[in-house]
Amino acid sequence: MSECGTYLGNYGDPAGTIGLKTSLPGFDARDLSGDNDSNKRSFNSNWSNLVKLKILGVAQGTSAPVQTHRPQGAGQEQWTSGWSWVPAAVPTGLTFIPMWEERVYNQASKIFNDDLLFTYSGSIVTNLSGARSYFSGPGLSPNIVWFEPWMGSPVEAPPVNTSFTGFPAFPSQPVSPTCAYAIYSNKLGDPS
Amino acid sequence: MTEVAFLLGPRGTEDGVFIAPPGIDARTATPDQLLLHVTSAIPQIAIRGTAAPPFPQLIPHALGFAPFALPNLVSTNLVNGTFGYVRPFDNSWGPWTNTLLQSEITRVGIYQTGPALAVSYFIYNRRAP
Repeated sequence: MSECGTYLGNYGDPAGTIGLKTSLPGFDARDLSGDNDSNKRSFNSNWSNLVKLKILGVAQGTSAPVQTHRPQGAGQEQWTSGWSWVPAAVPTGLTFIPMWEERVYNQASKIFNDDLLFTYSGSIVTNLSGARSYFSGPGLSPNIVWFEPWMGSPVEAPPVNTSFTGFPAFPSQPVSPTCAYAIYSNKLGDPS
Repeated sequence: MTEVAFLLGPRGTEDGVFIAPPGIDARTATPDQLLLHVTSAIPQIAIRGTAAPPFPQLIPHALGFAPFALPNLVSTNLVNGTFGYVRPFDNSWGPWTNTLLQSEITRVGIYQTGPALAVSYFIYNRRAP
């Protein structure tokens, strides 16, 4: 009997699931013993870890001015001016929490960095940047992944006063890097 | 009407390969209901691999554009004698390993500073923005 390189059908699955599978040269796609053997199968739509990529994109977060007032104890108080990171929202169009990932991206030079950049001198980190993300669901519509590229900036401690003398001037607005992301239509934590 | 589990060809405005689980019609299923959803509109991984130090190294491709790509670092040195890792960055302790992929029209360059670690990379069939 000649080999069958590509097979589509319900190949003995008791759940009745239709599948598509292809075999490497010399192996038969109908041979059930090779279903999970990547040395025999080149593709199997029922592989539980088959990655289903849905969205590739880039996102740039922004920062917004924030002023705060904190009691310091002993009648002293501190007023600060700073920046808070504002994440970028990416609707997934999915009905469940998906898998996703992100990296720091330099669009001008088309450089995909690892997820966290450090510039350091000896043991002192002088600057760092990165990308982080959250999920706002399930149960919210639209189902959203939030990406927040960020960059560390020097912090100057404002003076501690016993009375309000006015908020200090805002430091320079930090530059926000861009992140590149991939969102999958695989459920987070689901092996299937 | 009888369900269709497998569809090859047009599906609404899409054209590709679609497989639905039992009880779901592949012609009308939402994308996240499908077991398999392959169309030209869905991004795919075109090239994947793992490169061992030293770097830089250049990965040739014939996509015709500078593609989207994502790196991971691979450590086979067991942390605390118990585990290695594959992850997007190395922050276990300074000095850190910094890794980047530079996307070009005919190749993707892998560059690294800091302690040497192997790099796992994915190159996609989509143009880098």
